[in-house]
Amino acid sequence: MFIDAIFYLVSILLISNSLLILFSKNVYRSAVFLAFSMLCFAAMYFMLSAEFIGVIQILVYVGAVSVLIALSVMLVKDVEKSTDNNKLLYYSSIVGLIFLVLISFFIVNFNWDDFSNEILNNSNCLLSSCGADPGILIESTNWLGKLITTDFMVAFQLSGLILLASLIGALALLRVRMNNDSE
Amino acid sequence: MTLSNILIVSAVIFVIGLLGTISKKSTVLVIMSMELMFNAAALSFVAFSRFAPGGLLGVESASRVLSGQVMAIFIIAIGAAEAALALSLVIAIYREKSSIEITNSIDIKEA
Repeated sequence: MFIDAIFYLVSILLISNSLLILFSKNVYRSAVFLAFSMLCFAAMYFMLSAEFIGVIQILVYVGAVSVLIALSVMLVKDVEKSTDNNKLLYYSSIVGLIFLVLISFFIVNFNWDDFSNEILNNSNCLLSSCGADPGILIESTNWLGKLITTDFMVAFQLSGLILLASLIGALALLRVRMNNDSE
Repeated sequence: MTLSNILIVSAVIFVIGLLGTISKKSTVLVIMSMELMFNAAALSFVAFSRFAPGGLLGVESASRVLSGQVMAIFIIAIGAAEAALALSLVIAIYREKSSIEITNSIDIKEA
């Protein structure tokens, strides 16, 4: 099917870009590959009919975080030799492979249909339109806004507080260093 | 495109990020790998939201179906905050030590 072909193409692009982040010889190129991999994540979100998340992903990660990482790579000077691995590379690849095999075994063998039926039976679904099929995400951005401003209101405001705290923290860290430089 | 396929892609990306977080010397690459792990988690949240039982979105089913997307929004916000703070920390360490290797940053608290 067409959407399956697109899905496998995007998956291969995503995994290869993520591997190239680790194995390219230049940190600046790693930042560019991070931007490409974030674009592939956004394409995944569009295919999962989560358009709002995809747009936010492009705005925040491709537009802001990748540029921030690229700028900080430019500010620090040892670009060439900073892609070295430490001596934990082999141990960490063994641990990662074991983790990947275990979690893939769980994902493949778990019965997701029974799980979703169990969720459906235990939830307070009163209308007959709450079927066992996957949700039909029409006007999902509208419902997302309603959900954030009602059910997740406290978490939403706390995330704003976290953003403010990280902004103040970043400015405070750099301001102390500037005072030390001027002395 | 089933739920298992997306979860396996997400697990592969998570393991790549884990490997980079453990085995890289440069702090900037560690931050990039952490961003990969954040996004792998967000991808699995959105996949669960897509395949949650729902039907047409209504008052009863919107909370169950779209909670995964709300979690993805929060993950993106936390990831952006973490990237800004960690990169400013990298620049602070670089001004102190003239290097961004992660083993140099042990005694940053006295600086």
